[in-house]
Amino acid sequence: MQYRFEPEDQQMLRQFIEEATEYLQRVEEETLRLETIANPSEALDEIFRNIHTIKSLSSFFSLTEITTLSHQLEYVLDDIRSKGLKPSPAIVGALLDAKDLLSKAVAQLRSACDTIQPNTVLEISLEGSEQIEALTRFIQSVLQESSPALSNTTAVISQTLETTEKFSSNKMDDASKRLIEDFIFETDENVTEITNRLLINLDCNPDDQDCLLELFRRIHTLKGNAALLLSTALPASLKVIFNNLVHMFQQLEDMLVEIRDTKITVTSSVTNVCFQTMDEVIRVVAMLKSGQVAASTYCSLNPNPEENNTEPIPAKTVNSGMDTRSSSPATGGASNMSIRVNGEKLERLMNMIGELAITKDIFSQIARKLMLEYNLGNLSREVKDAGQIISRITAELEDSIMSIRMTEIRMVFQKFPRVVRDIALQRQKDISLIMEGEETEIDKSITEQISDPLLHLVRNAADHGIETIVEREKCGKETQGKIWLRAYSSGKSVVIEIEDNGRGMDTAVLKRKAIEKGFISSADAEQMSEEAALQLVFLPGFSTAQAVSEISGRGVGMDVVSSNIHQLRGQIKIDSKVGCGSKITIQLPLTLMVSKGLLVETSSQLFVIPLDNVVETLKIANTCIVNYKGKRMLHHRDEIVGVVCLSEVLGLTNRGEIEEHVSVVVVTDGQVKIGVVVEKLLNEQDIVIKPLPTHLVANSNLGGATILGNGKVALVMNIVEFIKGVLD
Amino acid sequence: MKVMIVDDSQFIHMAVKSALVPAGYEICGTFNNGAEAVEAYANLKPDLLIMDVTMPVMDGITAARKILSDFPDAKIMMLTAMGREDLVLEAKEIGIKAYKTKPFKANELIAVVDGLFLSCKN
Repeated sequence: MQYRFEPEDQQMLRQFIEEATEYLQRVEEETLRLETIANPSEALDEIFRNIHTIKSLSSFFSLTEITTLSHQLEYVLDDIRSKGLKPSPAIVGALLDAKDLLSKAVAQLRSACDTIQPNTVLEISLEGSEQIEALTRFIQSVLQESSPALSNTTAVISQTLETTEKFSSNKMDDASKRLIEDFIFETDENVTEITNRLLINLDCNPDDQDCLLELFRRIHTLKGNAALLLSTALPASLKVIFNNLVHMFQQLEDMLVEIRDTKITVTSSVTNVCFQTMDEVIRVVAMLKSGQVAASTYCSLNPNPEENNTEPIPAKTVNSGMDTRSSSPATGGASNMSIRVNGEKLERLMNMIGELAITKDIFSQIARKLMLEYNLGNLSREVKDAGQIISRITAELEDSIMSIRMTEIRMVFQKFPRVVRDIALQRQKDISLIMEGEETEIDKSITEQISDPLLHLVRNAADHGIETIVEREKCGKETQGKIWLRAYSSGKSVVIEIEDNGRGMDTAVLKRKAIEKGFISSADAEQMSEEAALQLVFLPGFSTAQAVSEISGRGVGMDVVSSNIHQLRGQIKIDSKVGCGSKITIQLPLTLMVSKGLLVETSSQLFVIPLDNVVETLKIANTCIVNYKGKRMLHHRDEIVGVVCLSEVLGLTNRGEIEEHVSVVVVTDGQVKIGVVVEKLLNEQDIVIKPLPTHLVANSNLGGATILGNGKVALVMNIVEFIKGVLD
Repeated sequence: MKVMIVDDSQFIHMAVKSALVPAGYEICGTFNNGAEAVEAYANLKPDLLIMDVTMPVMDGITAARKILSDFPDAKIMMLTAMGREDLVLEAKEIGIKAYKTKPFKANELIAVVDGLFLSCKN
């Protein structure tokens, strides 16, 4: 269906898109929960509320398909809820399908919104509206099966009639009377607008879509108001009237929908039908008005004591409102107010704070200069103090922007239950996904980038890791396979584990495959530990072979996953045991923004070693480094640590002279420790890592560059790659 | 005239604001559920409270009931989507002054709100 959004409506549309996305996500989560929990009423309430909100928001833009589908879903949910039924798989399926279709529609709106030039009219035809309509019809049929009385509007009304009949007395209660008054007032207004303006306009301009839409909206409102009265305790005679009205409006509405969808021009016969219906409505309203006289007489005989009381009080409200206005400003309500901010703005703020974090170091440099070069001790101290104050404020700024950027990992995890469910259904498996630590917080930019790799791993676990029900029975395992998805923080990093109790990976197969592909020699393979053999799956090009995934049960696209994780300065590790399952552990930094690094100098060049990788710095006599079979080693804290010279590894010119005392930085990738000889250890400092342009990334030992406080550029080491390179 | 808005959807906050502010009303606070509304009402003392019915934590009817028990003269207007009109009936019983069904157009909302203030003056 074709939609049109004027520039002034587009901000509202964007808000709708943002919210609808969230609501739909909630719907999916709760729907998936329906199948597992014993008492679904809370989940049903939540789904109902979210669907209901989507319905009412979409109606603002006359997004008919969305409104109608969500309206039908409401009926289904209400039916299940009121009868305390457990939702059937058909209904859960329909809910999920509906969520998917609605998400797709919202996504289309979003991309249209993102690409549109400012201040232009947005025109979009939503694809998939036929599917939405088909699903709407399907839901109606489901409803018919489970509860014949709820199949369509007229049936709803007739049911309401039956139930209210029991409670209604001959006397109308006050509430109904007031509702009828409202109804008459609103109907008068709407009918006048329709007959005096809209229909006349349509007669002259049959192509006026806006006018047609407004006509539709008004008739829809009229229908709703009439239906509302039907749900109240009315005398039977009035019910018949309102029932007729609803029916009449429904027919008009159907006709208008037909016209709008098929783009038939409005002919005079159409407007004639509308005029006739409106005349009928006017007649009915007139009848109601005369009936109303009797009702109001009844009202005056039974004056409502509450109404008498309310009269003098308004004055008091105004007074007390004025009294408190000055003493309690709006802050009382605004205390826990939250606002939405454009991500880009936050990004810019973050970058600036990052720059500030680096620039602040200039104070200590000036202080040192003042002391050493100009011998101004007092001034130096003052500058240093000022620098410290700014450092502290900067640190606080960093903390606060960090806390803004932190999001719960739930955002990533929440889509996995659906993925696992779908795979389980397709592959005849029974899988239960257990998620732990969803509240663990992590930088939003990491959440975004970790999402795909994790999805891949979860899919692998469900698809290849867990066996089918039959296979599991054969092995004597519990038929239900389990996948655990855990997140927890550990120090300055967040750990995510994906564990399954499926078939696990066979290292023998992995080794054989690696030899076949020429990654390792058979001699290597023999020496290789089980643990090292498992890490083979991360080799680029290793896992693409179909055979591997089928035989070993794992390893599709693992190289991509691994490189994604490394880009985030994270680490990935795999453990597995044949027949028992696999466990993948990912360690990620809390944030990508500011990190600490150790500044070192070698061959007159500056390098930064991320502090996360630094174990210790040493200043030792060169005699402590021993040569064994051409390899240099260092006995350090009861461990033998291999030693390399930074300038040699990076291929820089060495000064050649071996000094009596050397500086060694002991670094680690989490598993292996290596001593790195550098010329000078400078200082520890905050760094913001900027990526290197692609044509400079040839050297994998380097992870990026950073600007120092004095404006100089230093290259940042990628220690994980560095150690890997050294070991090879 | 100070108006307080309570709805779990920011969209509705926006819609109500964009209708009422140009018409000369002041929005003194926006809240996301009934519980927040009950808490803030005493402080803000708005001239009008516009509130959704279906909300998480505490629904609009319960909140209205609470507010009306402390402030019997509170002026409350309920917003409700099509299909939940049965709730409006309940709302009317407890002393809600007006209601509006979603979707509404700016001028429709203004008309109801203006009408409310006019009827009170008389």
